[in-house]
Amino acid sequence: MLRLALTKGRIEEKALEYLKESGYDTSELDKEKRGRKLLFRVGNEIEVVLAKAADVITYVERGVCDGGIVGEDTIMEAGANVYELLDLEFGKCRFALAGIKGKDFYQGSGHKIIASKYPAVTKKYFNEKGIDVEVVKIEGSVELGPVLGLSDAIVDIVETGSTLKANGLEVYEDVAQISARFIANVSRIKTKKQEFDKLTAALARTVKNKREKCLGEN
Amino acid sequence: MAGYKKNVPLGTRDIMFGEATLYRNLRNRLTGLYTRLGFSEIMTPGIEYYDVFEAGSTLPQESMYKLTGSDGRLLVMRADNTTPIARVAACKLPEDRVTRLFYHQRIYRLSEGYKGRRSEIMQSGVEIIGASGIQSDLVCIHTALETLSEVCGDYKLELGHVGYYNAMISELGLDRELEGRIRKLVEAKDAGKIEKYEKIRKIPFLFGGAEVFPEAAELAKGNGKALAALEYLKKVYTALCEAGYKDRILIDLGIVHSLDYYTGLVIKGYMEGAGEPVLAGGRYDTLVSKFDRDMPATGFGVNVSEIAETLMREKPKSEVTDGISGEEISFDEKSFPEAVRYLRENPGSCLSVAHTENDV
Repeated sequence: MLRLALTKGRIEEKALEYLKESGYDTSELDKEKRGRKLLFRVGNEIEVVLAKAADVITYVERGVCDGGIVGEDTIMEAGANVYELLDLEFGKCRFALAGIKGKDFYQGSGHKIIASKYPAVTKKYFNEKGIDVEVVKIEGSVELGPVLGLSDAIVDIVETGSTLKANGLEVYEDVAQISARFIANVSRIKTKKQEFDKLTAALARTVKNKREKCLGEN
Repeated sequence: MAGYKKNVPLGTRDIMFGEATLYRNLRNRLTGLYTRLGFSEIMTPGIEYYDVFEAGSTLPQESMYKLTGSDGRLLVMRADNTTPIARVAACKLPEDRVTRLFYHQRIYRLSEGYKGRRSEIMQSGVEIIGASGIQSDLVCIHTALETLSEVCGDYKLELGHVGYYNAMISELGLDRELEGRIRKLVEAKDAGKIEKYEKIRKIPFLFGGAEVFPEAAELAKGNGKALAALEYLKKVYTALCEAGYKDRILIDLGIVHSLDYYTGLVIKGYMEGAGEPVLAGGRYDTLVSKFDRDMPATGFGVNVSEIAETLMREKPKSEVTDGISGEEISFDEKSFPEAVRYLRENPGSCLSVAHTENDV
């Protein structure tokens, strides 16, 4: 039996679709059936827990769940010690550096402030570039940072870029590409190797099928 | 203001009653095992100069607890056990013989808060200093297997060899930065992002049983160094299988953590129910030379805290017990001498202490 933590919301919906297509019975998690439960059976081999993204990492890292499905953004921010077994190729978006449209972020030698929900990702990115910035953590609507004059730029998740545009901001550069990942606890993957092999292979097949189907449609 | 006078720092805990007994039992059993197998105990200071860890350890600075010594120099609370032992080996051990050491010492690691990570870890382990070659590797692995069998119940020990990965990556002639990035991806088994490097992206999945060897050899075709490392690993694996450990041993050629530290065979131990490896180690032939003396060495550390907590999880939570197993003798100041005499003649009994309110 494998216990998996799924990130609640959009990732969970997609993850269940993928599990279903991989041949697992996800009916216990049907919206009308699930009620207020947090722990579900998926077929005879999997137990599913629904959790917030950052908690998925905590559960998997601590080994109370064997594996999980979570966005790469959360993994990067947590600096998690987990195995990333599979890129599930959904939930695709990117981390980007953005700010007031038309401004050159790198111009000038003054103190630079970056607002972000992801201070660790931001710090690491600029550290690797050898640039010293001050990171201010903002919990929501990071776009307000440059608009209100709190920060010179933001590092945030960008999907379509429409929120940026609506607030007079633009992407300066991409920081990292992101998608949903199938992750595993570093110890359980060894003590439950067969279970992991089976699920990873099944999910990999589904990812491949979807990719091919998608190519076919285009 | 209440302050924190009733709290322990994050990542530490008070251990008592059944759990403290369990820690002591684990320690006693390992002491018995290591003594039988010819190791002697070493104790090193709880604080060391920062210079020691800067020279010998690959731990990042931010994961060490630091304080200032009486001479104004920076000190570190023991952040790992092997580095101080390497210091001892270089400065105090005889150069012309093999020394086998074991230890039971706490280590301290600073980590980001509120993730349930420990900052104080009880670690046991062994180091074999002054020997290279298959004999010392087999003694080290045998001791690791016996360690797991002594304290872990159901366990697996995994073998790898850093020479395989090193030879495969250096074949590509990449610059250091790119090499570092690829190593991180291999370590996380995140093969999807290692797009271009067809061979390297297969390495994270070279783990399992004996079936790994032909796969790995096929991948390393033409790379003499990688094949030599593989051949050595196979020799060790075969010897261990024939000694009866077959069901306990796994192979993982994707173990690439701490590459700067390990130089040959690497091992990791897994316990059923534990959330992280409970044993880690390998050959570190260049560590002692960081303290200016060339001595080959191999060894491993055991995360006793993780083992104890895994064992406790399977039992009911530790109950408050009075620790009294034998007869209890009540006494007052007049009968005290008589009670002590009785105690001498009846080992196993103890003096009683009555609970009193603070109003006497």
